[in-house]
Amino acid sequence: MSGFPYFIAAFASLVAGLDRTAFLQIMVSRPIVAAPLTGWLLDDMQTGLYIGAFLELLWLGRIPVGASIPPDDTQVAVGSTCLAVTQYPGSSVPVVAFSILCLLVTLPFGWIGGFFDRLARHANGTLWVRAERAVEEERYDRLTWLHLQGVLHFGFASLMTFGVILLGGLLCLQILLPVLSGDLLLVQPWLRLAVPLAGVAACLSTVNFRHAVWVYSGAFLIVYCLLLLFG
Amino acid sequence: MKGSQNLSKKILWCIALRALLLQASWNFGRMQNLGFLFTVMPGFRRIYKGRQLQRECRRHLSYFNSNPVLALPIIGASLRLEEQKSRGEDLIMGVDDFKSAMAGPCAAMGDSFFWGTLRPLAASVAVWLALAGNAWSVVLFLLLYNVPAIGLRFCGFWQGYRRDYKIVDKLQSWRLSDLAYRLRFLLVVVLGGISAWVAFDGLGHVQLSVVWGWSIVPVVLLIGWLVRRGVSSLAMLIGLVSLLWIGLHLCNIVRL
Repeated sequence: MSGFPYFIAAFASLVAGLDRTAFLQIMVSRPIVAAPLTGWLLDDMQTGLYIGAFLELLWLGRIPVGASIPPDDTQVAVGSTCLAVTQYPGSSVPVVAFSILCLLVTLPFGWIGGFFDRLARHANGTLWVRAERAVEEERYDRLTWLHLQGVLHFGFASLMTFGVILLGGLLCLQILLPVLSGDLLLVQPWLRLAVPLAGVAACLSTVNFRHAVWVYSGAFLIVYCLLLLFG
Repeated sequence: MKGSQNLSKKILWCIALRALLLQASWNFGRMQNLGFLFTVMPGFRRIYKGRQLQRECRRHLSYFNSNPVLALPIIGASLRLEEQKSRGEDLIMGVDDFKSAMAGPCAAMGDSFFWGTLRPLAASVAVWLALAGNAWSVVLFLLLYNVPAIGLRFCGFWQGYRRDYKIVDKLQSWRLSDLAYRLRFLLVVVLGGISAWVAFDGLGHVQLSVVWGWSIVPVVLLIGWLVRRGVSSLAMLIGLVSLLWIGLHLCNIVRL
């Protein structure tokens, strides 16, 4: 198999990974963008869209406050989309169920992303010490270069996380797919129902709103009634 | 040596754009310190010269951390204060004290509004459309989040530069905390809508009566409660899918 799709996915991983902390933060790093972007680059945007939607709901409430580092949902989104597109066995296996399987096998590796992110931030710790030296020597142009080295550190962390997620996911998929592929067709409709609802539950648990239970139940009731009447 | 010139618009825009890289050298020791100095450096080189520039650079390498969006008003106001200081004007509060006093509240307000409310709301709307297979959901998400976020970044920077200390009044007038509370109401409504749509669409696919849809709310609330009590969302999802798989096998729906 050609390595080209993996290079493309690595490029997406780098762009989205830098947006996560180091550069812009225009939310290209969110799964709802990173996964469809990867899918689009690999010529299968629909798969990316499903993976992005499921993952976004699941980890929507995790926020990077202060020095806390949440699991790397960006690289999970890129990695699982890359796996779902490149490893798709053919029309005998349903696309959505296979995408969810790819997501499930890559999710645990998202925690490893935190390790590389921490490593990058520790490496950045040496930069301001060197910046102080540069200031003492009145070499102000060096400050820009030192600061931009941080981008390299974060970029490297993104690529390493992507690599681990891809390899780990690939290994798990090789083990699980032969066992589960026969069931995927029948399980798919249930997964389409259960996975987004599990995501909603995870998201709802993080919302800091006083009457969330009542508002949520009321909104469900109204929309469900409308769908029953006009859907 | 005193520099007395005001910063040109070109330099100010350069600083505002550099702030997009504020977190590039984020570190555990002093967080955004080098990012802050990198951002304001074009202005400092205009305002200060020689030993004074060295002293000010050294000073601004101290600890700094705030929300990347609401750090911009602090940067703008700090620049104006540095200008006033370089002209020998008396300041009510030192620039360092001002930075320290503003960083914490701006971080709390910005994290709560942008990370905790606006982003989940924009994402949940986009997820609803994405589940329906609409590719424009991605563009909609980017617009819903970035129009206010980028607007407030640059508007905050210019307001900070114009108003110096008085940026505090401006930030208060934006009432981001109140707005966040109202938007969280909207977020919960959207989550209710997504659940209803997923239930209605999904029950049709599994060929179950729509009456089963009414059981969705207690199940979602129970799972949400478990996650709130400390069950990891990853463990919850894997557990749920495994239960589904086992349940289907037990019901002989899936062949063994």
